[in-house]
Order: sequence, then structure tokens, then C-alpha cells
Amino acid sequence: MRILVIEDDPAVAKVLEVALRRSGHEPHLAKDFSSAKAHLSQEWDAIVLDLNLPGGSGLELLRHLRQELRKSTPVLVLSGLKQERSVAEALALGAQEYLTKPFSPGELLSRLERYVAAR
Amino acid sequence: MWRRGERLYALLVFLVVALEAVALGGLVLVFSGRLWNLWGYPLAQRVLLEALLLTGVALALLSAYILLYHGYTQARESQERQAYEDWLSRFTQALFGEAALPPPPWPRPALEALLSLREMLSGEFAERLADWIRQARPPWGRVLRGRLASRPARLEALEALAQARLPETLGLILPYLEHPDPVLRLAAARAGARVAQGEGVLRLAEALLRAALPRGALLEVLLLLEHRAPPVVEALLRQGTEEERWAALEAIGRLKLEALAPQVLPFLEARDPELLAAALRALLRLGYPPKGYEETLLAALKDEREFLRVHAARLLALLQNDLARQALWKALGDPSFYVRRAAAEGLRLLDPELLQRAAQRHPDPYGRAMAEQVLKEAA
Repeated sequence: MRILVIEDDPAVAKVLEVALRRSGHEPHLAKDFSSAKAHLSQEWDAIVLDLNLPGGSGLELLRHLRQELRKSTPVLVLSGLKQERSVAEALALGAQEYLTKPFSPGELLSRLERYVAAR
Repeated sequence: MWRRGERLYALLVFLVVALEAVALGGLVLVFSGRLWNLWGYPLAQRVLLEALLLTGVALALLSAYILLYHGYTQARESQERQAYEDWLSRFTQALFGEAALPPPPWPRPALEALLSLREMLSGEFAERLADWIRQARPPWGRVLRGRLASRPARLEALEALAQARLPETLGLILPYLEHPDPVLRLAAARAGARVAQGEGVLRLAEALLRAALPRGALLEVLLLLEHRAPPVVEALLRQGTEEERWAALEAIGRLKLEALAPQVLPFLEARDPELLAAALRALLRLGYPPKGYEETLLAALKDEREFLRVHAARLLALLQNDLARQALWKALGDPSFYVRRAAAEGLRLLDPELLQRAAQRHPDPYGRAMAEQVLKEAA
């Protein structure tokens, strides 16, 4: 699977990169809002999205993906924000799942694979 | 008091000020002497040139320091960032079994990389990282126990302990909850909330009762505790001051601690309006109807303070009875926009048909308009 990882924290990005590569996937990293937005127009099997990004919000990217690009690519939000409001907003905008940090890479992988398989 | 590098900067500023003082003092002395014809013109000219030279030296020193400081810190930061990312790669590969764990001792960037990974990961990986952090023999215990460590060094140590989340380090953190410095007390409370597990949570609760933290800081600590919060919340409700009880009530609602809802009910009779509002908010967030406290709610709905009327109107809808319907109908005529809004939203949840009727037949024109607006938004 080609997976776009939108994440600015180098620790999380590194873990996701190794975990996805080891499971036979092809991760591609975008570290900020503008490069992530540019990458969204390409075709991806799934997207892992952080919400607090340099230059903008992950929710804005999600809105762009669903409402302007009209794509149904599975999106798994991985964020440090635990407020009910952030979760509700992300799910309302069309995210398939909302995981909070600290996270388990195994759990994230199994959910990603489930959403891609269900597509 | 001092951050790293500030001592050198302070020394330089002192030197510059001293040079300028010498230069200005010399000028004042010589030009005063010239007024009374005590010294000749050549001497005044020489002193003037020397003063200019001293000022030039002082400015050059200051500029050189600033330029060197920026150049040095930029180079150092980029070196440290590179080292941090290298260690991050090595530890991540070791974590996933792609490479062997580099043998300790590890440098500072390695420890930072370990802490970042520990903070981000849960489950089996997090446990393995905790063991690696223990192997690194970090210096935080020494810093926190020592007498000579600076405030920034202690803050860094407390922050590192919070990231490491090693339960055995709680004993290092708790004494700082009684530290005279409020900044260290707050950092210790945050660290304690991240570290405390099992019986440690009760020790943290006792320490928090002695820490006298402001209510906002205490609420932050309770939210950091997440599912471990209930024993601390109960201790604060039982033994805390009004500020501490406010934080506990807020935390019950925000963390959705449903099992503690019955303990909120007695606070509906609190005299302190802030405490009463916190109890109303907590029950609303929990969706817990305050049965048996109907009279208290109706009294809050007539209170002169608008924020109490708003919270009471929102909570009334949970009662799901005729008393609530009548009270909300009446509250649609409240002079406050926010109370009318809360009443209309409550009626929409409780009895949409009654809200329809209110939009057509409520005696208060503002109440009718509000009912109509809420119906329109819902549609």
C-alpha cells in the first residue's frame, strides 16, 4: 500500500516509517501543511494525519481532501489532541479513525489495513 | 535565575557599561575643566578621541558577541538536531529488531531521542523504552536531590521525568510539590500526573492537597491523569478548598467520570456560585439528571447571575418531566439572550412539539424568535 504520512514530529514519523516499511507498505512523509496539501492530489491507499502541523491544521487538509478533491481515501488521524471537540470535528469531516498519542504502531497498522480492505 | 549563556552576556554588558562610564566620566571632567580654563584644548581633544575609541570598542565587543552567539547556536543546534535524528533512527531500528541496541553510555541527544519515543509510544514498545531509559542511568535524580542545581536544570529534570513515565521516580517528584517556587511546584504536579500509577496516585493526591496550586493548574493536572484521576478527584472533593473542589468538579465533567456523578449532586447546594456552576456543568457533561434537586435547579434558574441561569436551563432538559417543560417555557422569556438560547435548545431535546408551539404562541416576542431560530438551525 502507498501510504501518505503527514507528521511533523520526527520521532513519530520515524516510527511510522519503519513500522509501515516492515509490514511491506510504501510510506511517504510530508512534514508540513503546504507539502502535505501538494501531496494530497496524488493517489494514496491511505493517509495518516497529524492535526497540529507547521503552517496549518490537519483538519483543514482533511476538509480539502473530502470537499474540494472529493476523495474517499481512508484517513486515520493520529494526534496528541484528546479533546472531544477535535475528535468530533475530525470524524465529522470524514476521518475513518481518531487515535491519540501515545499510540501502539501495531494497532495503528491493523486499523489502517482494515479500512483499506473495506474500501 | 540564569539561563545557559546568560552569565557571559551579563558580564559583557557590565564591561560595556563600565567602558562607557569611564568614557563619559572623562569627558565630563575634562570639559568642566575647560569651562574654568583649568586644562588646555589639546587635552580635551585627546580625551574626546579616547572616549570615541572606548565607545567604538564597546560597540564592537557587543556586536561581535551577538554575531558569534547566533552563528555558534545555529551551528550547535543543527549539530544537535542531526545527532538527535541519528539516535532516533538507531533506537527505532533497535525497537523493531532491525539493528542491535547501541551499548550505553549514551550522549545527551540519545537520551532526548529515547524520551521522545517513550512519550509517543504505548504498549510493549513503551515498556522496552522504559528499560532502556533505566539503563542510561539518567542524571535527573542527582539534579533534583542536589542543592546546587539551578532552576532551569531542575525544570528540565522534572520535564524529563514526565516524559520518561517511570513509576519508581515519583518519590523524586513529590517533595517538589511543596517547593517554595510556584513554577517548580507546577512542573512537579504535571510530572507527578504523568508518572503516578496504582498506589502512587493516592500519594500524589495527598501531595496535591498540600501544594496549593491555582485551580486552573490543578485542573490541568487532573486532566493529565485521565483514567487514573478518580481517587485524586475524590480526595479533592472530600478535603480540598473551594478552588480545589472547583477543579475536581470540572474534571469529573471533562473526563466523563460517570461513577462520580452522585458525588457532584451535593454541590448543587453550594453557596459559592463558581462551585455551583462547576457542578451544573459537570452533570450536564455527564448527561446525569439531578433528580431530587429540582427545587435547587429552579432557584438557580431565577438567580440574578446570568451564567447560573444558563447552566440551570441547560441541565433542566435532562430531567425529562413536566416541571422541566414548564420551567424552560418560562425561561424563554428571560431577559438574557444566552438563557433564552439554552432554554430553546433544552426544549428542542426534551419536547420539539412544545418548541414549535413556543415559536408560534410564546407570550414573549424574543422567546418566540429564539424558538424559531433554534428550530430553523435544527432543520
